[in-house]
Amino acid sequence: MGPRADKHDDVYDRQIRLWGADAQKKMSNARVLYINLTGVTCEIMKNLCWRVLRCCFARDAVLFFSCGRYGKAASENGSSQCTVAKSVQPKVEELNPLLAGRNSIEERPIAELSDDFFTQFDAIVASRLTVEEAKRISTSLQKVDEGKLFIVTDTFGFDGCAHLDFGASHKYRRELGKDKLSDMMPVEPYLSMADMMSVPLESATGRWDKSVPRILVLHRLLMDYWSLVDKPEFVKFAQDWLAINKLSSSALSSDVQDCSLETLGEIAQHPEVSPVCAVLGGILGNEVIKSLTGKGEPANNVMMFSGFDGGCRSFLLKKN
Amino acid sequence: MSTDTPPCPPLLRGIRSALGPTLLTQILQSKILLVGSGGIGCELLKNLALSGFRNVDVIDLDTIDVSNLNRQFLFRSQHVGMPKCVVASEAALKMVPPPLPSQEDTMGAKYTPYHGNVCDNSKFNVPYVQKFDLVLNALDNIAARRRVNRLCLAANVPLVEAGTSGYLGQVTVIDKSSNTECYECQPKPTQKVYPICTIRSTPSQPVHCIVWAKEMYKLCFGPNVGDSMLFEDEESLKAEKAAEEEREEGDEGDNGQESNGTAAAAAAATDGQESGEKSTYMDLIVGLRSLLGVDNANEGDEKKVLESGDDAKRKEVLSKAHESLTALFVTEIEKQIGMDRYKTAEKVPVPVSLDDLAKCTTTITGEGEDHLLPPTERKDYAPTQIWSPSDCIQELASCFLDVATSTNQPLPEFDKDDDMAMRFVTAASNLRSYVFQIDPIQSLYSAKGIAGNIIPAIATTNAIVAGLQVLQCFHILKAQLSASSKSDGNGDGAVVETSNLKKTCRYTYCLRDKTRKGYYLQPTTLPDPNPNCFVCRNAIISLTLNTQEWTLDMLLARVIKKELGFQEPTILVGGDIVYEEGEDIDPSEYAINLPKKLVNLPSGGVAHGSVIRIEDYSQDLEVDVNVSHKDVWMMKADDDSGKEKVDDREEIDKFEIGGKKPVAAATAADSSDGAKDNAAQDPAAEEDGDDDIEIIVDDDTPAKDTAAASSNGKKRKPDTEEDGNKAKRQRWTQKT
Repeated sequence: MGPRADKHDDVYDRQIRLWGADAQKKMSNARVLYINLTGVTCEIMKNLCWRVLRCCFARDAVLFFSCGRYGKAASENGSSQCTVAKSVQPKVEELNPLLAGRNSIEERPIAELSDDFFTQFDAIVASRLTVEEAKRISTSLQKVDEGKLFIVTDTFGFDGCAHLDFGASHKYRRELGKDKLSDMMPVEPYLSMADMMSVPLESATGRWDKSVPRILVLHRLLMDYWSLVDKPEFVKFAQDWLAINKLSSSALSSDVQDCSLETLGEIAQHPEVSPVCAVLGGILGNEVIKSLTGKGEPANNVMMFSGFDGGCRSFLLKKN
Repeated sequence: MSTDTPPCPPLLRGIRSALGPTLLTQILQSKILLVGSGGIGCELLKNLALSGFRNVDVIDLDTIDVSNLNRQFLFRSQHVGMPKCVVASEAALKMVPPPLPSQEDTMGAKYTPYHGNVCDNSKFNVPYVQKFDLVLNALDNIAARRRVNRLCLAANVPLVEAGTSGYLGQVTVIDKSSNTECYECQPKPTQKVYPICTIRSTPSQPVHCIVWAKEMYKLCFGPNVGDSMLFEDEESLKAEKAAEEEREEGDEGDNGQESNGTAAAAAAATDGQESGEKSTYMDLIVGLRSLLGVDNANEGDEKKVLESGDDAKRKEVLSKAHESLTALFVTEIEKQIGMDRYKTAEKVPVPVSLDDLAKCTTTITGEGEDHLLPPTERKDYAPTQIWSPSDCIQELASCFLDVATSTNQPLPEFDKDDDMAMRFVTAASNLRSYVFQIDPIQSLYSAKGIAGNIIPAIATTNAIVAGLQVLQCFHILKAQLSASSKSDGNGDGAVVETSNLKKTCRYTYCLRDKTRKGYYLQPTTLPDPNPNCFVCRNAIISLTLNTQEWTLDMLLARVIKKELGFQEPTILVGGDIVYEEGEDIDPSEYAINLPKKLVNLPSGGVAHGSVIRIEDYSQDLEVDVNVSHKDVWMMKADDDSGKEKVDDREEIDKFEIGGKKPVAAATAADSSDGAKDNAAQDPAAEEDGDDDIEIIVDDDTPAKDTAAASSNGKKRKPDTEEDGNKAKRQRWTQKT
């Protein structure tokens, strides 16, 4: 018998049909860095990494127990010294044997890593990042400016949020019906992750958002809260934080969801709800594919998911 | 933390903070039925397990295929061939967080697989479904979806339905007591159907040739040669000739034709000019079948028709194959041209050259020089290559050799994943495309997409809709909880007060391009039922057909079972049973009525204005059908086949359900009469389907339509909270 069946093609058959052999090749050669394995980053990794991408996960020692979903794997190993990344690693290799030996774990804190470390990846998917860390990585990426994707995402209770930076020089082709693509176009208007993090929240309004989107406020509040090593009492912290950011307390409430600061405090401690991670992980998985293949209009530049009504939409952070 | 909050496994603390301890308890105790454990099903099982659901039944009839491995992430290569539901349940069970310490004495989590078909009424019936708090659908075909829809309506259990196609998907909740739209309230996207004459004589698109090649595969290798719509024998031709004469003698406009023959006979009859005379290839192919041992193949037979080294036999196989291929691609074509069949056609077909055909007899397999090998055995072979006519001839020759050298066992039905079947269909369809000058010629890879009806599927969309489905589950359980606590105060009684799920559940679209407001996931309110839905509204169906030509058998197969989805129908005319089936029912009792014309049925028969009552206790469904007689249908020329006039046979077969619009606009090509809710995406339904019409789903038609709808920002109405959902109200389904 001749070389009739290519096993590799078989496994990816339906995906290749969707995005084409060329794009599939680009993705198999892509390198992705996952910083902090939380529910949502694990979902993204599951959706993309196994059988498709080479991967590399880094692990920040400071946020040791941040990963709810895979916490069980860690405890099964019987060692509280085991990081989530280490306990996930064999599962990833089981999912995709092609990844064995083609992934690694980085345990140094982000502050100790060089610019070169971050720029070697085609995409960086991070969770539980502090604003300072996000800016630090953004600055590294801007030095090379090769259109690399940088996502900072978290879920909290029913909600989830992501900041997406596709890189200043990223170009994409819009999909125009079957098999047709537009000319290359830039992401406009473009804001780097560092710039996004520097936009004063009280000015983050838009055509459809007369007030600052609740989920965006929540994400930034929790990023700041989680960055603290000694966690203060949440309600007090949140009230002060709102005042500093010139936001009213109604910025955290919505018409459909009754969510007190006390409840938020509990969510801040235990933020992960499996299906919320699954939905946002799927949405962001698509954005990673868009970035790697250059096909499809990227979600610029904030993605907000409300699990309460199941709505997910993008929001544009602009420089003043 | 208050003292009355029970300790909680770390993995479920997030659920407890977001939903509260009461709902968490409800989740831990609820009973869930999941139908389907493929692409969406795997994702659902993971979400259910990680959310703490502990009692889940999983029904799936599929086994694991290698192409499932990329996105049905609970499966590994060592699981290929095993039942999906068994492997998936085991994997999910391992992810369930341990029970609360305070509940250690309660039963452990149970994820129970049922390897079977949800349409099996002996196991999966209304009392079975009533045991569950809610049902999740993760299905890939319309027939099963309709079945679960009807079971849930009958059992009054909420159903969370989902479907995906490529980047697109949708999730909705169907609940009888909340007065929501049911799965069958809206017609499913119309499938493309092709008239037989287009397939047999006047192809104009690659898909026509691929449909023809699949029929040719059946004719050459199928377990029953009569199953192919290309098959003709003396008997069918005689019956058809008689019918032809009768038709000619009949009153003008009244197309009297016996129609209780086989589908193959009916198919052959459509060739008008050809009737009464066999196609030139027919006897040769029947001869080739018997030479290859297709007809006397036996299960477990280890004998081979062609042993290695038997050069004489090898030559005989190739020479017979050469004769058959010459008849197919030269003689028959020339005969048709000679009969002026293509006088008015845009392009006159060009037979395959005899030089190319001669390559058949020199074809070798295994080792050898490239130019003697079929394309798939050459060193530089790739499935995306385009084959020349001589490549196609060599590939076909190698298919015949493969059959001759394999042990003499029955060949499987056409399957896109069967290597030989796809090589055969690609080569045969391309030769036909060359003959009819149809562009583009398909690579094996692209032919597979068309022949296997593949709707692309990706992991991320499955992940998204499955996540949304479980979020809907939370809303449903919460509504049930508040309803039950209102009704008896202690929270564990029966749900008396109805909970209206419209308040919290949503119909959510998953889109590729964002809406004007930026939505990628667009929630909308659950729609109201269609007042004309015969499933959830018991609406009366109006049916228009030719009551003097249709037999009860045709009505049963084409309308009652295929179109309306009845499983065990009892049919009443004028209050008397004329037909019934089901458990404990002797089918012979009413068999005598099956070949009768509708007008000749007992109790006065069915004519214009008659009402037929159909009941199905297996689905708790009963419906009255108002019949209108119509013997002349306005027909237009078929766009696909140029000037081809649609012939009488198809006209007699026409029917229309609903009957709101005049049928004049309907063409045979899109047969909106018969196929608007056709189970074309259901492989089983397609195989069982009438052989006179072949249905093919365009690879990504539904996806494209919806993508267009969502990206067409300028023409959209201003976004409201609903964001233009009405315009997009269509579902698409997926093979997972």
